[in-house]
Amino acid sequence: MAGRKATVPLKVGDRVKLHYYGKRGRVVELRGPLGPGGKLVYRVIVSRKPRPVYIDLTEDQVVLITPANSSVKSPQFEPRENGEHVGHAPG
Amino acid sequence: MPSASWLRWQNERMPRLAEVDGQCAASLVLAPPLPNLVDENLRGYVLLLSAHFQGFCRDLYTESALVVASKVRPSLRLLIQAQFTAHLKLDHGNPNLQNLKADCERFGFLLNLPAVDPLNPARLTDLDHLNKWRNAAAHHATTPTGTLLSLAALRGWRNSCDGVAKSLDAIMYTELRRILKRAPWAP
Repeated sequence: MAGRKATVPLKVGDRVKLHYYGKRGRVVELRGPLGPGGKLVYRVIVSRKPRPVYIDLTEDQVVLITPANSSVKSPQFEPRENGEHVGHAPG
Repeated sequence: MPSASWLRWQNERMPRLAEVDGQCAASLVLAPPLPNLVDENLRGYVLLLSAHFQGFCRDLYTESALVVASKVRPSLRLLIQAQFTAHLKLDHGNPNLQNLKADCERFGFLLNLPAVDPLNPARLTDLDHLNKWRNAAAHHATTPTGTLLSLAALRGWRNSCDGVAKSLDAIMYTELRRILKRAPWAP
């Protein structure tokens, strides 16, 4: 995988920048070490028209946005609750 | 040659379920008996078993998708990952055969669980019962007919989930190895 590896595990709610995509998003779920070579995987929501998209990303594909390196305002959506049965419909 | 998802199923999810199993067993031998507590424990067990099996299936899907995505150039990788993440049935639906097929077949093969293990048809029947009871417990709906909710039944369903999980892991390994022409994850 290309890109810089995040040095500290991210948390739900962290804002991140996506490599190669020119987008920013927010971590909504910690998926664990499911990436190639045991890389940590995060589900990230990315603001996009007509609706936001969710992407499972490895730790080296995202960079944490801190107040020091942030120059854009926060995406206008709330993180989804972290859980395996959110919005779970029967069947 | 297990995946990380399978190892997590074996080393984390199954032990957690075993602890819930122990709690249910302990509540069954309380004196005086507390039938409401037993019922609540069994319903909780159903929910957790379904949730952990669904979690395993989601993990395996994501692990497989990321292996495929890692084989394309970085500028295309996010596009592939976004497509794999979009409209995933297992994100919101029960881990039933229909949803498992819908998600696994996005990798370009037909999921045929009975073909890899003669025990799988019976296991899939158990999975169907599990999901019906899961919905009944989660939504306080009418209890399914045909099966009683008991610790023995739950233990059977847990063993069936374990068997189906092992088959799914083997199928994904075989199919990804065919697609990628190399082992998808380290043995």
